[in-house]
Amino acid sequence: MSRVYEIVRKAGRIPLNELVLRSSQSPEAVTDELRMLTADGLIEVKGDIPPVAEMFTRGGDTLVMLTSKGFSANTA
Amino acid sequence: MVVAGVTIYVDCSQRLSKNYRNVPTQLFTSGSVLLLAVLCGLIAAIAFFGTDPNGTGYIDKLLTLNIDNHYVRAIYVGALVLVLIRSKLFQFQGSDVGGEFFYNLGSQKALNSVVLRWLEWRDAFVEQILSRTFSDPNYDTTMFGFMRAIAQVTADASYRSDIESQIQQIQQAKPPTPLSAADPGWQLYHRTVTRMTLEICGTRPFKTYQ
Repeated sequence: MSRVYEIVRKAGRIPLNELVLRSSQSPEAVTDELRMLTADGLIEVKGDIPPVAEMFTRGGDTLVMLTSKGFSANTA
Repeated sequence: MVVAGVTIYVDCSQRLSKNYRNVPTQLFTSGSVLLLAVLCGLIAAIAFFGTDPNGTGYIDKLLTLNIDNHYVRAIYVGALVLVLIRSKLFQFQGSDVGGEFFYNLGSQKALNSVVLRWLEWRDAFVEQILSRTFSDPNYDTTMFGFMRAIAQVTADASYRSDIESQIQQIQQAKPPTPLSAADPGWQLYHRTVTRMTLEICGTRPFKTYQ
């Protein structure tokens, strides 16, 4: 299981800049993982993913959260 | 019926605590959990009429009960309501038919509603307390101490290493500038520490800041 998913799974919902801060990955790697997890239907990203240079300043407006499929997998 | 309702609350609480350890108990008063508990309580109450003191009723056989006393039998039926719901009740066209599918569906919807309430409550709590966290220059150190203390008493080694890794990651992002409540970098830092502390330790570490 990816590190980004583990953090979102425990947090349930987390601003993007906090997610990047807590993961041990670069903003680019986090963005790539978010795209994969979104495609899998486990998480959804509410708001725009800002450019890497603005990830910490603007990333607070973007929320990363579990989808209902992700929630159900969490409480099954 | 009451015993069955309590059983459902315990089941929901245990499933939720696997990933959300610190959901305040008051959030369990969600209408959907209450509805699930009442429905399962009704099932247990109806099932009680399928028992008899000689252990020959349909439900007695299903739960392998043979209890003479009505009250004790009622408590057993209530406590075993999940076994009852998950039992194969009959076969239809070669497939087992029971209540597990419907119970899982209902309980997941109920738990999702509790989790959503918890997330809303937690986000509001973070924003409410954030400004007060700047009154303590050692706020981050104190909170990391709480998180490490909770992680160390957890049996799950991967959970412990995950918490430690996240703490180290956050510490590396500590702003080099003097502490300032107006600095967005410090706000992000304190917000991250606060949210993570809430997830791991609940609200107890924040008593002095409330």
